[in-house]
Amino acid sequence: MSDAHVIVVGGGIAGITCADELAQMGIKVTLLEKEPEIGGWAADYCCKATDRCNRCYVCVSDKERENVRSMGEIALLTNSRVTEVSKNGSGYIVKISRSGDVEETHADAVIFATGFTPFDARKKGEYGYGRYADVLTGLDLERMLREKGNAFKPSDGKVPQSVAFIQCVGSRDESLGHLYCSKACCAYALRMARVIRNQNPESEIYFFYMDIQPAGRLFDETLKACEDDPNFHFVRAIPSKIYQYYQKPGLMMKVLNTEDGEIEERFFDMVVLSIGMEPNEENDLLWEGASLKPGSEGFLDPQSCDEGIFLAGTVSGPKDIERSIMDAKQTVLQTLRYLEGKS
Amino acid sequence: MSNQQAVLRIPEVAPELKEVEVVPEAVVAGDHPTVLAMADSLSTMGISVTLIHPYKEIEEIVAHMRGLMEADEEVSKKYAFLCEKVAANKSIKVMSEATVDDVSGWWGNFSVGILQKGTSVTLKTSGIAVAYKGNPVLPEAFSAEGIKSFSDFLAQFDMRKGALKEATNPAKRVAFVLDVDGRDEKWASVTALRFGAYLKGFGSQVYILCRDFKVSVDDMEREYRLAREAGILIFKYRDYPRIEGKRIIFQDASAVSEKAPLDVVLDDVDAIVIQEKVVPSKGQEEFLGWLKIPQEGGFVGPNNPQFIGRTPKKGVVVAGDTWYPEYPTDGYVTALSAAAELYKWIGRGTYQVDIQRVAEVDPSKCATCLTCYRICPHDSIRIERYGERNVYITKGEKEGATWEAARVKVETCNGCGLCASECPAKAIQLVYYPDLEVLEFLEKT
Amino acid sequence: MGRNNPKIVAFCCEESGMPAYEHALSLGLELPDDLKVVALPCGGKAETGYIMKALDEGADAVMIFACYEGNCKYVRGNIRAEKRVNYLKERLEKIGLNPERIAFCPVAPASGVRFAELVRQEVEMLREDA
Ligand SMILES: Cc1cc2nc3c(=O)[nH]c(=O)nc-3n(C[C@H](O)[C@H](O)[C@H](O)COP(=O)(O)OP(=O)(O)OC[C@H]3O[C@@H](n4cnc5c(N)ncnc54)[C@H](O)[C@@H]3O)c2cc1C
Ligand code: SF4
Ligand code: SF4
Ligand code: SF4
Ligand code: SF4
Repeated sequence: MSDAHVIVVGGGIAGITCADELAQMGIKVTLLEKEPEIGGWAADYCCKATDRCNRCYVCVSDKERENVRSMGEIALLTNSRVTEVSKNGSGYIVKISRSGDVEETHADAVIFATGFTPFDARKKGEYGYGRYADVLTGLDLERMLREKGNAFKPSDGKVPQSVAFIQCVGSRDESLGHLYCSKACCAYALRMARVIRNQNPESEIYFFYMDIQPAGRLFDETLKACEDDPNFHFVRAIPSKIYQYYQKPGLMMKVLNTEDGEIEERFFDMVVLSIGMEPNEENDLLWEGASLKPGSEGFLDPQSCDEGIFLAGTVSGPKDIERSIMDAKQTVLQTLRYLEGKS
Repeated sequence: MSNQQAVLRIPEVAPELKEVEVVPEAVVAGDHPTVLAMADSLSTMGISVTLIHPYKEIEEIVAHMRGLMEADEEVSKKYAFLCEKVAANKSIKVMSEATVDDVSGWWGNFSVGILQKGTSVTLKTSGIAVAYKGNPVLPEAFSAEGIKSFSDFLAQFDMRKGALKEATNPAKRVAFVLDVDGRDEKWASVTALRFGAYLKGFGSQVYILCRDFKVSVDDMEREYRLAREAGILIFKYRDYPRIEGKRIIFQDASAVSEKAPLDVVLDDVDAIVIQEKVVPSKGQEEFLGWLKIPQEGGFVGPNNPQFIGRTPKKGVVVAGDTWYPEYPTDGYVTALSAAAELYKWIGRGTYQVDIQRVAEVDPSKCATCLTCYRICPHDSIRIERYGERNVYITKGEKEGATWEAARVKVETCNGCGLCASECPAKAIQLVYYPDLEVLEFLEKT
Repeated sequence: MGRNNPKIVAFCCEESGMPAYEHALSLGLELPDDLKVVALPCGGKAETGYIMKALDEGADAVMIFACYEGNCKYVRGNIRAEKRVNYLKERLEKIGLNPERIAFCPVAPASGVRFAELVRQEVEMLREDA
């Protein structure tokens, strides 16, 4: 087992956790990432603490990334896209495209941690994403809070007073064929909404949702804090359209007034679309050689893996960071078991 | 301003390695089904496992989850398979009808007191994995007659009849009332839906009342839709439902107005099943207490993103309801990741620990006040006897001129320096970062 | 005490404070040169002796950058630090000094912006106080 070589494809939180754990157990491991930097999507997210930590796990991913970068035991190759994986004897040949060149490497086991693709909010044209400057996705807001520290309206740079969050954008949506819940967006949206409330005590939040999904242990506390906040309005309905009036600022939505039951037109400074996850488009390339099959929702099915191929993180279905890390750890155990059996 | 700050970094001291031998053996204990997953995976990784459980037969570990699992074929197959595998695995030493009644020690050297059929035994072991099951408790308002908790319902249910064992006919109307206490747990939504679909096959009318339907479990959104199409009625209530005999009254949250609430009354419900709150068991609380592992809401603490699937105590991992009452598929992953964590600490036989990145006590200064012993988050300080004179106290004289002083266990110390910063006698220093360096740097600020 | 350019000592825990400081630098945010940064393994290691020594040696303010409550790698190191700071603030007040000269500032590793902002606020406060 000691001279076995494992290739981890994808340097998101799941991939870096796998690489770290394997290296700690003395396994030779190569981590391949197509982007110039490791970290995956989570590297763009913000801290969602208010006066205390709200357990969003983003800093865990930040720390783990630094950790893996400085670990000498891991061969870390960035700008390296895996284009094909094919069986070769008892192992696999992994084709890597690096700045135009194609290299081939042998591995005794391959872990796919190629992650997800954030839902493209343009596909939901009715929300006007890309048309209205102040309609953001959850990902845009994450980046804004990380880089600028504060939420502001892209159109005029002012601090928004009324912010609407629309949940389940791209998830739980029959018209898109996405009959699954993305599992992370309720939690990130509520936490970011709290950050906005914390920064601007005058701000008002409207939260449009179907069902709130718990996220890990004692999430109830976060939820209660939102419910107890008088400026935080939960509305159990998903608005159908965002529109603007000619030459008038602000985003309009038809909204149910929960007090008197009337449908009214309401004005918002900013709307955040809580986008979910879609299967990574690149998975198609990798399926064949490794004979992986997509499950019913298009994410890869762990049951379909050939021996020596393992999945970690959101490649097999939506997960938040905590569950991605746990999934990565159990994948490492399975990989070790497999290598043990081989030698 | 040009960002030219004076910075004192933590010195990069060359590591000084000490070889530590850790025998690859573990005690896996508890009554939650995930102990099987942990025992199995640790054993296949070559660790000699002792499984301690309170039942007569291994099968009983999963029996109490039967209903929950039969609602989920995949999980039920997984655990049935695990049962067989563990029973057939001769290298796992199984101690049945046994409970843990004391634990002490450190990574690589735990001592586990076990009570088996009235006799006590003590086992030495390197690592511990526990998974206790929580106790289901019905909220007081719902402890009237005829109302069943989920676990009672599942335990008394006859899958072939589609009815409770004592009943002759399948229930006509069954209502599952969820989220009554706390909204974190997903298992009840999933089970109610899958069970409901099953009951539907016997012609029962099924109602599910919840605050939020938990679709964040694999395949749930799809099944949620199918169930609604099949005629299972799913309501979201605004306030807790009221239950009067066979009648359930609540306000529908999808009603448009707070001023004109839509009251819903369900009559003649012959089976009312309430989601109980899962509270930590006494065994679990005691266990965590013995090892000085913090608890939050009775579950293993700290509930802090830095502790994923592990405890602050090196060599101890938890799963099952000790971690959190999760849905079995999630719980299975949690258990395996806990096993992976433990394997990392006990699987390799020998370890090298850096005895530079730790704290050190100067026994001649220690006043044995136990401050450090109390605050060390990793439980890495013990009180030892020294032959030399302790300058602060004379308490040791009685015991034949031996002196007590604190001592840091280098094997488990993480070098955080908390002990050093609180020691009233200034008897502790971080080996790699002595106070002097900081104080010198601060001079003439 | 040239209060126009107040001297600040920042004790930064290695888990959050230091990465936040470095994040601030990487974002190109400006921090005063009169800031002395001391890395510590945990905010809880910022002991009373260190803080008093810094004030003694001429610092106008001492800031402790540690993890948010509920996110300490050493469980409660940050809470210990915060308690210590509150206690020292009381003491300062008793002897007639401005208690705001000691501050406990929770940050996350990617809070470079917040780090710079907190330092800026502290500098401003000290300038007004002068
Ligand atoms: C808007 C948004 C906000 C979120 N906020 C939170 C939050 O606050 N807290 C939380 O817990 N979770 C959050 N999540 C969920 C979180 O993003 C995921 O749990 C996590 O990022 C999953 O990590 P991963 O490693 O599985 O995938 P990814 O982060 O997608 O990583 C996959 C990596 O693989 C690389 N890759 C892909 N294909 C190839 C290839 N062929 N060759 C080489 N490399 C390849 C990619 O470049 C990428 O770096 C959020 C999700 C979204 C959409
Ligand atoms: S877990 Fe999230 S909220 Fe808590 S400190 Fe880390 S980044 Fe901030
Ligand atoms: S997590 Fe919440 S917002 Fe995201 S898809 Fe699920 S229910 Fe919708
Ligand atoms: S805190 Fe200091 S004096 Fe007290 S027991 Fe520990 S080392 Fe000894
Ligand atoms: S340095 Fe930290 S881990 Fe080590 S003995 Fe002291 S308090 Fe415990």
